[in-house]
Amino acid sequence: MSNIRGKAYGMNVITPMKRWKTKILNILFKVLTIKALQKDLHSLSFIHFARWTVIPSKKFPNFPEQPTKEFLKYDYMMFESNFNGSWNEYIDAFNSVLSLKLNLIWFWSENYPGSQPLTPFKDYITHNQIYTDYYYMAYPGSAVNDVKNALDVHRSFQDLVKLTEQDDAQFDKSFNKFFVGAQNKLGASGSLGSEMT
Amino acid sequence: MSNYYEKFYGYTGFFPILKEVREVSHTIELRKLLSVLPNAGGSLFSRTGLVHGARLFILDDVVYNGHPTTAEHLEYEYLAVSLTFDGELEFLAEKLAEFGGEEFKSIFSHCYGYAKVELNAGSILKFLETGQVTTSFLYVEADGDLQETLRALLAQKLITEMLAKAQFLNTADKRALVLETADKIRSANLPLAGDFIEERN
Repeated sequence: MSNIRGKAYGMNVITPMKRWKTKILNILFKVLTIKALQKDLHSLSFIHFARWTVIPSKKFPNFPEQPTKEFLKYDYMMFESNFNGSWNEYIDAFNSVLSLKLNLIWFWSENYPGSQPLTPFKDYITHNQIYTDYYYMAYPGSAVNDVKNALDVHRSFQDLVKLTEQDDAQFDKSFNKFFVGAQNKLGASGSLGSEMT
Repeated sequence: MSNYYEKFYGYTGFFPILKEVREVSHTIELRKLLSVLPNAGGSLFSRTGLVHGARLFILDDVVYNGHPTTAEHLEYEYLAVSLTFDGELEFLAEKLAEFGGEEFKSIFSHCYGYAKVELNAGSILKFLETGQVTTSFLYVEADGDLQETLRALLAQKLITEMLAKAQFLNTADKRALVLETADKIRSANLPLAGDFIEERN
């Protein structure tokens, strides 16, 4: 059992919600699909993937072989995140950048204390967190910024390769432009790195 | 409400775990299995060539958050499955049918509905769809598909080496070095999904 794979930490939080609140929350999720509203998530730069899933009380998956159906009073909201760094760093950063949006989403969960002050918020997350039993990451040695930088550098390099037909003066200019763009995005990520606790 | 984020698919599923009375419960066996199931290159989700991230956990029960809410309990324990991958669920089912093998069976044979599943794409797809809960909101930060990302991570290292060498070269040599590096990137074996890079080299 591990919430950690390489540089990534996987967090699962499941909180109960009154059923009538799900409709409101679903509207909020629709609004959040507008890309301009995701700039805070982008600015965090350490989240590989994140997702929220509402499991309606009467829509837990049901297989014909099950002797009885699941029957619950509450709907449940599951939040999952894959991020780089430790749990504490993540919650601190998540909370300071996304405080308002977190409140908008978790406000509908039962007994949510609000994102400020931080201690009750962390207590709430801890209380509702479920540990991961199996965790796979395709590039465990690379943080999100490593991946984004690698993609940028490789794409720019492919453009540079197309310019090798240019005359010397032009190619020199193109090469220097590539170098300036790439110099802060270089390195060799992907190794095991230091162990996270 | 969306299982999609651009070209990525976010699959969320809950699979009720068998409640048969036996010496060791299915839940305990499954948890033990998941704790030792390989997650490096060549493991179950690595072999699909599509999955960026996968996590499985057992939901024993729901959490009680105190007064004034009412305490309630799950009738079943569930295996929760979250996968973020390239493309469509149909593609993943095809890959799981082709490469899932015994590992896929060893996990899901502890769940209701698996007994009737055959190792073909249609049957696996139906099973995954029955256990699926629609993801409400999915977010993926980097925009490369898995193969492009793995190649880019490899390329980044080779490009770094190239730039170190290029510093004192004339234009013709720089051009040759760029083309040589491009060839190296093209012909290099792609890193295996799930591995640390140094483990491979």
